[in-house]
Amino acid sequence: MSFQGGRRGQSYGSDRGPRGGYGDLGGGGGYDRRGRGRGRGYGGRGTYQGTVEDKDGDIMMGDSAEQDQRRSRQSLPYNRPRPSSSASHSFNGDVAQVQVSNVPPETGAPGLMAWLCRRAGGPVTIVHTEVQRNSIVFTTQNALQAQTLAKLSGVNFLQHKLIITQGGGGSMQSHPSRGVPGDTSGRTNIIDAFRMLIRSRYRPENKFLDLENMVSDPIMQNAGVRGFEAESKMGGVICKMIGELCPDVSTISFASNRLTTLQHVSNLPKHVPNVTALSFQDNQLRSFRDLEPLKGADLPHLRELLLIGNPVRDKEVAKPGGEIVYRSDVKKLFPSIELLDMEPVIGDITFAVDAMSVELPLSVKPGFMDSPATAATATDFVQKFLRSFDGNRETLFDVYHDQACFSLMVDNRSRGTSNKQHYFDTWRNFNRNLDKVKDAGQRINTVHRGATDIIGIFKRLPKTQHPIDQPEDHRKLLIEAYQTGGGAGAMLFVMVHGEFKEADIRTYRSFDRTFIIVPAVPGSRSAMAGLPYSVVNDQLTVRAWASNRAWVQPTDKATSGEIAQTPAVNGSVPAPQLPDIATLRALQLQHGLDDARQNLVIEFAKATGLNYKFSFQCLSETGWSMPNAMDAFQRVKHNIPPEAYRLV
Amino acid sequence: MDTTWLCRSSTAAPSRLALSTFPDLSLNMADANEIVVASRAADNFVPTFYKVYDRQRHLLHQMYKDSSAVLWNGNPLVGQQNASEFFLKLPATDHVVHSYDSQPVMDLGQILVTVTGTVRYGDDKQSKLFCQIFVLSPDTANPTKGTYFVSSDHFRFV
Repeated sequence: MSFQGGRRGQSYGSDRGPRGGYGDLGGGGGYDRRGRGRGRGYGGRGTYQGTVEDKDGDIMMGDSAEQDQRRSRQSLPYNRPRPSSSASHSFNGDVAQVQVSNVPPETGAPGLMAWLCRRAGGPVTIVHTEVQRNSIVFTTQNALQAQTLAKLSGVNFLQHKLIITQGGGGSMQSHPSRGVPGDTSGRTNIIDAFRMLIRSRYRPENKFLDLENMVSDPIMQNAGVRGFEAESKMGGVICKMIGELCPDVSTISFASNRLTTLQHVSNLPKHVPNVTALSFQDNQLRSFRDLEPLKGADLPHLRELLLIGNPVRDKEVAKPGGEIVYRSDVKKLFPSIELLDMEPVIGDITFAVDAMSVELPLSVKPGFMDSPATAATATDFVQKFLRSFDGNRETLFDVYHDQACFSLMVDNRSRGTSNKQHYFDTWRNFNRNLDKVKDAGQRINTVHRGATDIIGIFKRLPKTQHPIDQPEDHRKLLIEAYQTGGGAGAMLFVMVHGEFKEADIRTYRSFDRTFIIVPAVPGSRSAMAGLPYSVVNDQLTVRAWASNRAWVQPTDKATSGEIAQTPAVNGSVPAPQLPDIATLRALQLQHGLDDARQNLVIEFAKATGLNYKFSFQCLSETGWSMPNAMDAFQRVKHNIPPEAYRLV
Repeated sequence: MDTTWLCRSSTAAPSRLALSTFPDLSLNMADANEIVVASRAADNFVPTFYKVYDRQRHLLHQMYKDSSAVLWNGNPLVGQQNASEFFLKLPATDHVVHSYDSQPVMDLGQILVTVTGTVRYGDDKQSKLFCQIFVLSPDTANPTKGTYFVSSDHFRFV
């Protein structure tokens, strides 16, 4: 991005007429302009030629409407071409000061000055420089120039976040940072500080706003912000600014802010209703009551929520029913989430299907198999293969043909559900996304050929756990296969879509994998190992976790390709998963049920094999009507997770 | 080996690659050459395919043959005609490619191409994530022209 900025700077820098001061330093992309998609020129030659177009072509950093207005009011004097560096006159006749603090040690004032003027992109003339202990005070020709520089506050200079405030010298130290209600100057400063903070922490390329541990940020420290106190309005202001400064934000992290209630972010849905991932990791949220002020129903696109490191989670997980109850209770508050604390949320007895307003000529069907023989072979292959891939990858040696190819690519653009910057670090080194990898040598080196090379690279890939052995796991993998050719030229295409858990970092991911399989040539390693086939192609795509909603329909019927059996309602009902009487009594109290409803839950559990928690959930969501609950259960039983049948 | 498409010609991949370009490779030259050809084929094919899909759908069938295996979200579409009719029934599309990869398939000159991305239909606000897997095969009917066609096309919302 800085490249873009530099290029833009050059392009108008070279068209510019001669001017004094830091003549060749004009331009330069602002650090927070990238990716805004405003499509509005921010520099433009007009700035220097004093034409009418200047009004929109200034270099201010603002994005909000409010700022735009302020900007156009100020544009005339601001954009006035500077006659020459030696001129001492200024627009308002008064010089103004800016104080730049948090400057890296050993920074020379001239270098910093030149750099700032370049970043400012417009005419700024420094008439005086004073180096103080930890800061440098620049005197500009007029107040508007000072304001231009102050707008840069929060910019990174040699990995230091510069704090630039208007005014200068000693008196600055005392007044701007208190934020006493009623003290307008102080409050303005705090609001500016929030604005700087949000700008400096937003990564538009990922639509990710990282507001982790705000108080430790020099910008906040400089403004004297100490955190979210109970009555503080700071959260509301921040939410409003998020809406103004980064309306496209998809992921926001509020981690490590000592939040005691989500009241602080209760107006977030109003300003950014389309946010898809929120992290409140490592805060001080103690109970569900602390979560309630943020209305999950108003965030229809929220897919991921992180509450790890909050007392509420630890407390709820320790209760009877533990994690399942906790997860289902959070899901009630945030009905749209699919990922909670980095694990898929399953077991919601709801009927959420991706609504599409446009009708497609064909509906989405379960995994296609061109014949029962293909289905048997492909299913058997995938299960055995993935089990070995998770367990001991070396045992796959004989599965691969001597000319086999393996490559993997990372799709890190699919739905930004991650709030971890290092999300694909464990896979990146192997990535062969040709959209990014253009170097011919690298393209060759990332295709691994032959069993030896392939097993070699497998040993370096992260440990995986594919869903294979649990009764409901077949819902998490979609297998399709068909054969082409015949005899020795026969090829079996096997395509698998689904999820796996990256064991070491406890993170779920989704994948797509294609195998091309040929009959084992007699005498080949595969044949000698007793395998009927060899893999000649293996392509793996790793992407952010997405649920199986894209292909699993509530009405799906079992197909020939499916592996495991679902607990049946008629016929062999699994043993009812009910605890002893004392625990039942405790659960009754916990859920606040009268005896009639308690009996319904027990009856329902006995009829379906579901455990107490899920029986309770199903009944409560269907109005405590046994027939309705049964009907709902029948409709969604293929999507019910295995733990629903486990004793808790 | 050339990589032009039935529907239109595009930039040809280099037919030979000097070994000296990759002195440290353990792969032999034939393998390296195969991989480069498959990569270039994908470079040419992927943008072309979705451009035609999104903007000149009526030409899309020209990339297929009657023998092509087309699978759309679990629905088999047998033959060029069926596939073509289906493509034309789909609402307007807008594909955004996130990533693609390719591999040479054995020694038949086929190329496996995998693509992920998003697609938006008509004026639907939400886009859907998809994964599409192709096998590109040399067109043996025109051996001299060195053209390819889509012999397998597997499309899934994921």
